[in-house]
Amino acid sequence: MFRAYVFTEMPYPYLPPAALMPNNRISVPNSYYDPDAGYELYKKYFDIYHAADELGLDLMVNEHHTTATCTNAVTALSMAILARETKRARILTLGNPLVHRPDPVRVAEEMATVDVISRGRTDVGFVRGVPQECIAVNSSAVDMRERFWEAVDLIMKAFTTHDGPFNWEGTYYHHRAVNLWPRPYQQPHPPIWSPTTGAASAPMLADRDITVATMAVGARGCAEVFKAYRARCEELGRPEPPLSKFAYSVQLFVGDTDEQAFSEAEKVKLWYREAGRHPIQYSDPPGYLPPEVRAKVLKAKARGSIPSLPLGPPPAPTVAEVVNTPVRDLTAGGFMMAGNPDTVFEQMRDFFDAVGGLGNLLPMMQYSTMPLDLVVGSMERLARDVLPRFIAEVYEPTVRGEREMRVPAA
Amino acid sequence: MAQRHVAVGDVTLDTVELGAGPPLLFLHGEDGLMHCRPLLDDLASSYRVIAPHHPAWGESTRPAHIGETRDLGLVYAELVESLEAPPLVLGCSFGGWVAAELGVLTRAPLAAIVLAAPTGVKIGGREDRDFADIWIAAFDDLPGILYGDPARSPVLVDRPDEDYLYLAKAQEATARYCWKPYMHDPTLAPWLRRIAAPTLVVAGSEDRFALLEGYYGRYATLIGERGAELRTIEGAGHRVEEDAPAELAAIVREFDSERAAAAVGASSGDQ
Repeated sequence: MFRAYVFTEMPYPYLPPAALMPNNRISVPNSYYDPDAGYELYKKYFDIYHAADELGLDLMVNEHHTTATCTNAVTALSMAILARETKRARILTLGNPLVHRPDPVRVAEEMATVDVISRGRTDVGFVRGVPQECIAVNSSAVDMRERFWEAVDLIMKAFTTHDGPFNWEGTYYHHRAVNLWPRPYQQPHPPIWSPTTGAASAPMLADRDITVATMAVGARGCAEVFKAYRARCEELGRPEPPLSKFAYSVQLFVGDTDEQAFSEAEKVKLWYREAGRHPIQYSDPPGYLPPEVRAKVLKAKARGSIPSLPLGPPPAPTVAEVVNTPVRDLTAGGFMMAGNPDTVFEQMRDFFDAVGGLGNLLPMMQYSTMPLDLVVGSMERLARDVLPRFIAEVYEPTVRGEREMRVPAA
Repeated sequence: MAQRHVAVGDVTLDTVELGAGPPLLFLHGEDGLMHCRPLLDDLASSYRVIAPHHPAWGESTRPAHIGETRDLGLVYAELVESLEAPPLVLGCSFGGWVAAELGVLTRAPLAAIVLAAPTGVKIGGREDRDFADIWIAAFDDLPGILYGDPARSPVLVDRPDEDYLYLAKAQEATARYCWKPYMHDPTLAPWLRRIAAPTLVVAGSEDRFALLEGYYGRYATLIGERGAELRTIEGAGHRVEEDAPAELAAIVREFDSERAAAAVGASSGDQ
């Protein structure tokens, strides 16, 4: 079935403006964080998730550290709250930043616990983490990929071993008696997800049957990632992966009219402005990028001009361009989705066709100071006026083989 | 100058060799050999300078078991055992840390050790920062941290692309060995007393990388049975080898002569 996992990064939006405070992470004193305001914010954010559950939507959480852009620093905690406060929604973390966590078994324990409390509603995402996290968590960016995959292997073995303790003496992790109590509710284990923004990493996810999520790369970028995943499955002689294995995260607002939606979606789009609001070195720890790529960054730094990165393959806008591009224009390439219910339906349909189909949308529904009623209104229109029609007219007929996808003109 | 690939066990060291005379093993700092040429040329007038890239820098290989700075000390311990005579070892910054590890670990004698602004030892308390954080500092602030006169730091604009690739690899290698604990091994300090070779610590008077007052002097007191001497080069910053190559080369020669004279004196005293 098609799922929309809505999310908010739980921002703390009350910093002084960028002109006065150019930075919003790592070094901002937490005296700028007002716990009373924080209490109200958490209340709002969990109310959004509660409303989403009642509307039939699913839920996603993500974490960042030492930053005002995201005060959800520990997704296991918010998942645990949601596991009790919601009744039916699936709860996805995207995800656990494995290389920044010293002990993967502890991650397995947290996820298994949430899975049991939620009675099997948990989707477990594993992420490498953004580069800024290397400083925030003091985790070296060198050999991240190797640490990541050893952590995944250890967690998967922990999820699926039921005959007593096993030993693990790997390159990075050491355990003498891994034996999960509780074990996961879902058998053999909760669905595993992982994000990537590049096609090069997609085959590694396909190898392990991990749900691939990509974010804000546009329809063309997303199509490349999904194509690489499907090609790898074919190469392995596996059947065509179900659409549930594919997910796209996008900023989304559904309004009563296009004009209202485009206007409100500008508030979600502020994420781009805030995401880049920090000194370049916070997002450039040595080892995060391959040396061949980082050499270009060093060259740019030496010249005193850091080029803004494009969101996806050409003609994708750069992050800097997105900040000043009207939402309406960004919806054209699938970089955002916004409009009245009919408009958003058409955007979802065209995106679905352009990427060869997908089974999950991960819409960022809230950012900046967007209040509860505004977000709930957008979610209501998504849940009542967009998704049922999309599922009936696009998703299900395609899955049943009764509908041809319209491949967009090159 | 010759560029050679030197095998040490299963490590291949991409090594620059120049000059003739008694061997001098040069152990580079964070940026590899990129900015060291004036110093190496100067030293080459008196020594056969052997300047390997550490595993993960330049074209040197890094087998999986080489992961800690101590492993580099072991690689060089094996290398010096293969040399025709005990070398003088000069290490700068991170290379100084490697040289200290080598001095602790070696089974073969070393003629002498010169540590120029070495890292590797934690002297301050847990909330003190012994060294400036080069990974959180702004790019434009690094020259002021690393050089006595930031205006004389190497110009990095308009270099060939291979230089940026060299630096990118060097910086990743530095992060590999130095990320956590930051620029030191908590277990090294108590072993420094094992260093048997005559050892000198050199520091620049304008070193703004070491934040702890008297860091290099306190480092020197830990070395050998009686502690090592500290000499200061006026005006030089942390990158002594780049800021004051001639002065550093002169100090190396002077210390080498002094220790040679002392060795002769000691051996004639024995007779």
